[in-house]
Amino acid sequence: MYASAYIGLKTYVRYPAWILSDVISTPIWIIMLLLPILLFLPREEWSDPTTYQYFYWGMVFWSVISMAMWSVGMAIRWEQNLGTIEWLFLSNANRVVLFASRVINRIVDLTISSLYMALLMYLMFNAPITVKNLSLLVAFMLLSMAVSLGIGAVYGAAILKLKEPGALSNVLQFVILGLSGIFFPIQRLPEFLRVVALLIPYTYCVDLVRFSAMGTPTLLPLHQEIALVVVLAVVLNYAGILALKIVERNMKRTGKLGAY
Amino acid sequence: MSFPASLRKNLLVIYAVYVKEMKIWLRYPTWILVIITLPYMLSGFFYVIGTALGGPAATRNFAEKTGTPNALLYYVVGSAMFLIAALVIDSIGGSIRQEQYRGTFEIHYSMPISRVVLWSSHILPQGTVTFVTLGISLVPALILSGIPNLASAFIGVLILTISMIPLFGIGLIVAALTVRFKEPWAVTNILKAVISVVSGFYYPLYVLPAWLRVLAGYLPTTHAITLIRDLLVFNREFLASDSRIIALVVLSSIYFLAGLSVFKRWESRARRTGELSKY
Repeated sequence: MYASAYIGLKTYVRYPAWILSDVISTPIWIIMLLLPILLFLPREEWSDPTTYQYFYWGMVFWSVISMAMWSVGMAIRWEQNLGTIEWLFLSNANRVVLFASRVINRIVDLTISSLYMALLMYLMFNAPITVKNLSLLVAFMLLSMAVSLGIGAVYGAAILKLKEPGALSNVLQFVILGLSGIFFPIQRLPEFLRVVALLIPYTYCVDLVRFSAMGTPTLLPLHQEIALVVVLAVVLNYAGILALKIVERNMKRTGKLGAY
Repeated sequence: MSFPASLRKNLLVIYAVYVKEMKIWLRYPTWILVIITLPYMLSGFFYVIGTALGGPAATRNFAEKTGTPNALLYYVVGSAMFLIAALVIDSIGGSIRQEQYRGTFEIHYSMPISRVVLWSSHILPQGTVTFVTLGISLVPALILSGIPNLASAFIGVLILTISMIPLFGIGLIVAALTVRFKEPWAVTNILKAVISVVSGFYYPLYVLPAWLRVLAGYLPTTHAITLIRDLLVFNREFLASDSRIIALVVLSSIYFLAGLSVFKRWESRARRTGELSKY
């Protein structure tokens, strides 16, 4: 885990231009994503702080979702590109830990960007971001990341098989963002889409995050929802480890591990 | 070298780059699928969140602010323009970076060919993929919303083609920055963000502050998107003497020439200082 985190952080700070680029472009992208949504609201709601709170926590949670799509999946692709994937598979380390090096970058990135975006929301839209219960928020964010890591591991196994993650990641990301109520409560979705939303693990994660940050009511009774997310985190991580094992074994047998 | 011989040599370069790049594109067909579906993904993203937050009056609010209740077409057209801008800006700098990664960058410089032609050629395969896929992607939205007449569609393609020229100029500047700073994606990320926000691909410009609207006037993409939106979303017709067309053509020439000049200068500096082979 230490080696994995070390390589992740070292790679992250090696390209300071990327960090700078993120700092400069993040507020610009926020405006680009927010303005088209505001067109659907009456002008008086453009200054409603709740609208911005929903949007802010949606943006923060977007990073958690991207973590699943891009961390393990992209880490595998990255190692393939560098020609180091075969060496990593020769080691006896846990595959999820091995490829989760980018999770460390994501956590650093998420912490910085959450604070930065909160400041920008205040400066640009005069919408202060408040947190109802910080310790619960941190706990639920970590729990959500554990769920995301599990999904990322399952997804990583698919990438190992399919090779090209970028396309699938893009499509999946938008489907999840649109359907799991990341930016709004799912009660506002049409009935048939609400059923789909309830089947997506992230729906419950973001619901808990919003509960701790904004004090919104949860979909299920609180304890049941926490229990559900804990179970999801365990099951998805177990499924991820299993999926990676099966795909790896299969690829080793067919000699396709090194092909990309 | 005589003109026909020089022309033949340059055409061969363009052909070689085209075949190579198309081969790489077709090797990863899932990316083509993404370009086809992405306008709908982005439009769906805005639409689902907007209507969920806006409630029953969402469409009315949208129509009041944009002039059309057809949010799908409005956003699909905007997304198409956004993708063209993003892909073209990425293509040249990205190609140089890829060659650096593959270790083939220096080999290009040992060949007796024009580097401007070489790197510029990347626009053609990129343009082919972009036009074909976005064409496919726009058709369903246009059919659902009532297809504009053929003349409008033709003018739309023409405007899109012209709007690629200044983007290509920006791409050359990115390429120059790539040779200098080695990290094109950091630069393109900022450029794409600025161009996307200021051009108003997804909203009418009046929602921006006055100073940004002034800046928008200097971006060719702003004029391109308003013209295309007029044609495809509002079914309006306009004359060739429309000031926006003139602005688009003038700005396209300026951006292209500026890009070319920056690229030539930085490239020659990189060769002199030995920066070329470092990455």
